[in-house]
Amino acid sequence: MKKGYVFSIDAFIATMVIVAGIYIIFFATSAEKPKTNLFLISEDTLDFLAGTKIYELNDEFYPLLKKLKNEMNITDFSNTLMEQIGEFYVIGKIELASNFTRNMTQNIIPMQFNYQILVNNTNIYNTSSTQESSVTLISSKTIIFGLINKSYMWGPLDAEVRIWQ
Amino acid sequence: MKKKGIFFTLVSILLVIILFISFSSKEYITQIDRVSAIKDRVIKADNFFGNLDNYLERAARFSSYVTLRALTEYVKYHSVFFPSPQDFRAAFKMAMLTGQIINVSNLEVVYLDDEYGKSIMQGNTLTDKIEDIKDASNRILFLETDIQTDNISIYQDNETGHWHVGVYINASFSVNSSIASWEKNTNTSVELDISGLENPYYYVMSKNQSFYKNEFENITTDFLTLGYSWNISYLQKHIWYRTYKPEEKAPNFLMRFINDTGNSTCCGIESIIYFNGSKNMTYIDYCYWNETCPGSDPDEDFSLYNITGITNDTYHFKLEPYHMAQYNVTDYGTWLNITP
Repeated sequence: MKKGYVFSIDAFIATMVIVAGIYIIFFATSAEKPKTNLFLISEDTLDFLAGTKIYELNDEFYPLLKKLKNEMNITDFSNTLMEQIGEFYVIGKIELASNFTRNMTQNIIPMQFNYQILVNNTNIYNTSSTQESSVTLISSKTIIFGLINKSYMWGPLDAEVRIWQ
Repeated sequence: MKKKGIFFTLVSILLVIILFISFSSKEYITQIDRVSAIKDRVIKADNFFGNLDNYLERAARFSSYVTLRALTEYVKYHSVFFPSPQDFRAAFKMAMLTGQIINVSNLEVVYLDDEYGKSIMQGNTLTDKIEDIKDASNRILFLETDIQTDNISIYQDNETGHWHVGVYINASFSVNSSIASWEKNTNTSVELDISGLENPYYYVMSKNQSFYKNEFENITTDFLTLGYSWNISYLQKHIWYRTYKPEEKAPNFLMRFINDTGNSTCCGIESIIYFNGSKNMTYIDYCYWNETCPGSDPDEDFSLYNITGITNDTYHFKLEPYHMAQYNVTDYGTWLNITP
């Protein structure tokens, strides 16, 4: 009986050592386990894009924004970021919309998350194509609209933020 | 003994495996991660409701501008002015909401776009924009939205100034998300920049198409604050670019829809007659056609002057003393000897 205990404990310790070794080898380079809620990130991103106006941002931290203002690609500084993205989409400047979106969002969403911004169900910017195989995907939507040069009103269109891991 | 040893060994290995599985890096669905569907829906609807003011403001701004364009086209096409300010305001409200107008000739309700043969109001009335947001809120956010406009009026005053027109709208909103509902009344005022709009008065009176432009706005409106003053060179550019200048003795933009050439102290604007007219009258638009301005009344002694550097054989430009002083070209005036 005593030998049984000894062998059991010996096996337990040996297994623990082996498991620890395997864990260290395979998971040592893993990113820190996210502590934030996917849903909150999606909502916060949408709130940021839909609630922040162009004039509220400091150009010094957003060189692309400054460049677009100087080039008169952005003329209405009272637009929100999402409305500006929508305006680029409406006038056919999808690439500009994509670059602008990347510039505005790359520092606010943690790197371990993938995300996509859509306007009118059209992809504007996408960090990864693994959306279909994701375990969890959260989508947040809002309605955007705008006025260009007094004489053209676009929208209302749906704007969507999708976040997944 | 050996059997017991094997048994305990297997049990301990099983325990280790269970512990390993328990603490491996898997994503757990815990109570904390669960989405509060009801809370999210209420927040979404509340955000949308709060943004309706913004939508109405932009829709009103856009529809007002389009309506002014349409009414200008209507006046141009029929070469008739609106009978009174009340008629104009009523026509503006009706056109802005429905795209229709009461034809001045036969008093029938007609679509503005049918009158002048252009698609200006179609899909662009305030009612159309309200229907768009109602449809979008239902389709995208699954909300029932209703917007009723109770009163619409257009005006110019000290707040709007010479270059803007104000539009006031009283509206009531309601949003229903099946679990909660929102209602409110709101008053919205928007100011439209009139630059780029045509001058219906000039067009009808001159029988030619003309454009209202304001390229020299920072000179014509702010020349005092910028330290500039009028001179012959600016007057030449004023004529060349067909721009407008504030003038308290002149009518404002809205008065030009009703052929009212009275003075608007807050918002009067004037322009130069830039074509070679046949009248011996000062070449200021409202004076020229009204035939009554200080120093150029045909029933009184004539007091008109040619302006050296502007008046020539193909352009018989004339000014009376008041406007010569306004444009600071008195030294360039040569008295025009005309026998009435």
